[in-house]
Amino acid sequence: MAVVAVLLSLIPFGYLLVRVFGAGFDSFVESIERTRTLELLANSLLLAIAVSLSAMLIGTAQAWIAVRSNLPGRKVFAVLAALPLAIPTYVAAYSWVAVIPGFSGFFAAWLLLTVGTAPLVYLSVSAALARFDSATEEVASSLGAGKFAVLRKVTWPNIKGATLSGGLLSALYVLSDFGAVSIVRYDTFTRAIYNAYRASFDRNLAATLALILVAVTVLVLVVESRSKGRKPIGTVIANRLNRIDLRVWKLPLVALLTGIASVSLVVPLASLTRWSIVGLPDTDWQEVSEALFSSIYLSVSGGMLTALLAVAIALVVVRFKTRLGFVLERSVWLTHATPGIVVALSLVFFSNQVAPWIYQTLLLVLIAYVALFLPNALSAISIPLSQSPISLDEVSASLGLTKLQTLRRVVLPIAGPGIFAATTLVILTVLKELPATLLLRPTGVETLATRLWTETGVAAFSTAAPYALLLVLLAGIPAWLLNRAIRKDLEPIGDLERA
Amino acid sequence: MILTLSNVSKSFGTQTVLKGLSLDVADGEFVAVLGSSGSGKTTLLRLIAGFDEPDSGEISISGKLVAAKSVFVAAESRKVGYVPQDAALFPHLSVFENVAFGLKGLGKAARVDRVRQLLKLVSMESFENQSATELSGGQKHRVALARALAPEPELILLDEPFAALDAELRTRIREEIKQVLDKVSSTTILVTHDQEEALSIADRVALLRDGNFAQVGNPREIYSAPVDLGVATFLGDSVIVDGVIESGKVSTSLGQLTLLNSAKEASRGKVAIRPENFYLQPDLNGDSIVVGRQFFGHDAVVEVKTPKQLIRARSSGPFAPEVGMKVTVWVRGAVNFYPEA
Repeated sequence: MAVVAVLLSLIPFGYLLVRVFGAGFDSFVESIERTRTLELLANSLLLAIAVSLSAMLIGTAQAWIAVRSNLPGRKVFAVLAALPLAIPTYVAAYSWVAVIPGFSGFFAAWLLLTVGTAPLVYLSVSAALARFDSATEEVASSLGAGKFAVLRKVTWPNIKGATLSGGLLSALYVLSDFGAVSIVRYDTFTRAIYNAYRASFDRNLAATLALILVAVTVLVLVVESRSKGRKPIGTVIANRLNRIDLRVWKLPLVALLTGIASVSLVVPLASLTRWSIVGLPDTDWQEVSEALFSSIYLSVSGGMLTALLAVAIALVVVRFKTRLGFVLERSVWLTHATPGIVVALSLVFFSNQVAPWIYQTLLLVLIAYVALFLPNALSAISIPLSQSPISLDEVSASLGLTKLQTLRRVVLPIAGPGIFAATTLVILTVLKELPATLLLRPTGVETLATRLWTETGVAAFSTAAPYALLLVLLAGIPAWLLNRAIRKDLEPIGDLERA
Repeated sequence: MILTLSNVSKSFGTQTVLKGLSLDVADGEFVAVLGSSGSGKTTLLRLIAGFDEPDSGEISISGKLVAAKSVFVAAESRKVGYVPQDAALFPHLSVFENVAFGLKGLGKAARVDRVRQLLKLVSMESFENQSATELSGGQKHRVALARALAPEPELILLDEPFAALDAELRTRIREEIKQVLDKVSSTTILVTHDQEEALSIADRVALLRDGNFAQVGNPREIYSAPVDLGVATFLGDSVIVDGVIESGKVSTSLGQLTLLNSAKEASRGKVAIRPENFYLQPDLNGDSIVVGRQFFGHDAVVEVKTPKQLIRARSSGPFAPEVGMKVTVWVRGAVNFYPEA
């Protein structure tokens, strides 16, 4: 089962390669020259760099203020800093466009994606700061270093890795984002791929663009893993964190954080509420409930299928530690870098040429979900599974239980609640998925996400409002809460091992 | 024999961890496998338990072959109890359920009786409804032992079970567990790197060095008659002195010493003397001088400079000579002589 799962998730990537190079190198070069490929590449890279830089700046500052300063209301700001994760970026894009119809272009995309991905940096850095022992800062002060010198020479080196890895997540998100950049009409690779596919049915062009995008993403990942080399210096669990007095900086910082929160949360929520009120009387509840039903149907079946396969892989990898398991795990991460639009596109090609009978079926949509979310599901599910250490399996075997009995009586009871939570998280993530659903859904099937996208495309903001609102309420907020809960669950492992 | 190892070898990659080990363990015997970290003692335990498979050699438990060429009995069918270093209680179960985990084919009443009886044995009967995660380190180990004993295994394996406990608790739990194991006359193999632990608790000690048993014997033999210099220095301090055999005695810079083992006349070699075998006699005309002293309360280690070398002697705490005192060094009892190869 694990092998099947990995093969499923590898289909798109492999097929894309075959497709592009099967058409010959000349046509590959030609389609690059014929289009604005370089311009698009520059657009995508510029946006990714700009967004990740600003997200790193904002996220790191938010984390430092929340964990290490004495800013009044820092607990509120801490929640506000992570909350934008509950709003899918295409929903945020819709809500801004609905307020300012001319909201478009580079600046719009930059602003939306910055506030949308800064929480990724914020979470990673605040975790690093919480682990950091501030005694080292005190030692530095006692050795004569001033406040800024301490920040630069002691604090920063300890959180640098967290900042950079958060920035990387942000850059990868930007490269693969389709919904938000499309809504604010900024031409990136993902949008161009979609347009090339839509407008001309020139599949070779779309495939070429897709392959370049994958190459860029992989390049980013390679650079990242090269630079990772050194491990973070401080691994102590901090017991004491002194807070730093901000003095005159308090007021400006409160103003700044409030400003960020209004861009990331207040405007979208106000816009959503307003358009909902405007739109509710005319809402076609029949359509909304149909979209709701399809969304739930697709996400529950896709999420459960993905989670089930992830459990199978995780068991092979974490439990039985086979060589095969290792290969499987690595292969899954290969596809992690592939943007949703690319997965969708390659599945279109694949089904058209190899398996026409699955084109325009829900099965194809489900395969796309598995390919897209298997890595996330795997990491979410490995956490609860690792809470049942291998030594428990050995004890169980020494008491006369077979592997299956051990699975039933030890591993699943311990990991069960965590697996359930992780599965729910995957379902909620699938619920928000846009590009693959958009390209692959059978004709006539509309989900909350695709409805929102279509209505926004024709500026029918009030019609789109209930879909946006439902998406945030159903998928965003529970996913955000669950994600936090699963992360917190990690803590008791330490107790288990300490004995 | 409960356990027979014959010529058991195991490698990981290019590194050979166990090189043809053989050992017999009799019914009711308590054997400690003593070795430094990396000596392969945990590997040996895992082979006996059935968590890993040997590369060659045979393992039998109660006369039944469990590992050999083309034979491998899985851990769950071996009837070998196992107490890991961290106790590894099932965190989702209560103390009672942990102990009952491996019980099979018993009626409800018999099951409850058996668990209560075991909990009583390890003095944990008042904890049966507690969650396993609420116990202290020592309590966890007692429950882990009861759990391992429950299915009445042929053999109990203890994997450094006391290493994670602090020093005082370690000694106490060690005694308790030894008493419990004696009471049920269990056959036990303990793996440890702590020589004091091995010597004090076991009927026999098997000293594992570089993948081989360097010496197997009762604790007294192991301590007082190490087979070679390496074993002598591994098991506690030893002072190594050059010597030569002359008329049945060994002549050294510390005088004519009585031999424990036999040696050929006129052969040269080394003598290993335990620090507690020295007697330091205060003597104004002595040729040796005390140059250092570490005080431990019940005893002290005294560094003495003799005309030929520096020795470390163990001396009763309150009566240990002061630094700067002149002494004469005597060696009490017999010593072991290791001829040069």
